[in-house]
Amino acid sequence: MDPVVRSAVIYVALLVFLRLAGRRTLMQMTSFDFVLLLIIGEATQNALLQNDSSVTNALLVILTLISLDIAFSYVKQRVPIVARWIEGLPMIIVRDGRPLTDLMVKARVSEFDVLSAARESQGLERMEQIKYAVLETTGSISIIPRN
Amino acid sequence: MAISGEFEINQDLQFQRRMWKAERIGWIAMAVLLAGALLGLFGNGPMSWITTSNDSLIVEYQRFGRQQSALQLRVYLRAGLSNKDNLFFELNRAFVANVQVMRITPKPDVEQPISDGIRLIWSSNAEDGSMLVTISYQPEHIGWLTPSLSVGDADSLSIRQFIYP
Repeated sequence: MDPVVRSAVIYVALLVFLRLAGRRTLMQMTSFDFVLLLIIGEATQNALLQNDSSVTNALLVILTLISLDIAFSYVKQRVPIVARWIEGLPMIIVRDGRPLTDLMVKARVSEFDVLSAARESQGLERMEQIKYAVLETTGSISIIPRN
Repeated sequence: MAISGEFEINQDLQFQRRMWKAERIGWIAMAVLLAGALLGLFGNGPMSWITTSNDSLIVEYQRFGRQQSALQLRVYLRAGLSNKDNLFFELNRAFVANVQVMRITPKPDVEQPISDGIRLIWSSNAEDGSMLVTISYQPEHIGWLTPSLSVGDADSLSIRQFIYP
């Protein structure tokens, strides 16, 4: 298959798979997640380059991937609905010290995750000290403390 | 953008729920793909192997293969085909042109080019016993691969394989 088509197919497939994995799955960067990402990279590499180790092939693959990235960022900026589907939206999961359990279950975030983020970023000790906790599109949890 | 109180955030719970629904559908699709892969929908599984035959040959092959990954063709020559201590069969041009043959076991004594492909010949004193020949090969092209096998002028046996990228 042509390197351009090959790279484009893999780009889109990875986008879909990682999107389906959800924000929290691969983005916490535990050492296991890190190894998993390395293995995914390794598995992709052979398909991207196939048996062609020429410079031209490598350049075409890189060119395709970067062009697609530019194209996607452009489209995401112009068409908000695409950005929503590709990146998702932030979501409030704790409001005035009350965890919104129903949303948290759906998003696969536990109260311990929220408390851990609260300790790490704000040095908070209890749920009621949190004014808002937001699950960001990157998968991280940002904490706004009560005054 | 739904602004929640004095908190400027583009949260949209309605969209969020739609997205979760889409996510669940995506998971189901992933599970279906996985199950299909285990069954051999993409090659190498129980759903992939198939047997076909005519008066002179029985052929076992895989319905699904992948580009540049090894496939095997098992050809059983039925008893009584031996002619002056020679056994042979032909593979047509569709096979020769679209695959890279890695190994034929047992090795043929002669590989004779013919107008529509190649004739593999073994000198054999198998008498009336049947013989098994395995051919390992890699498909070079994506899409349908439809080679056919024949013994002399007898009916040819067509097989049909789908080659994934």
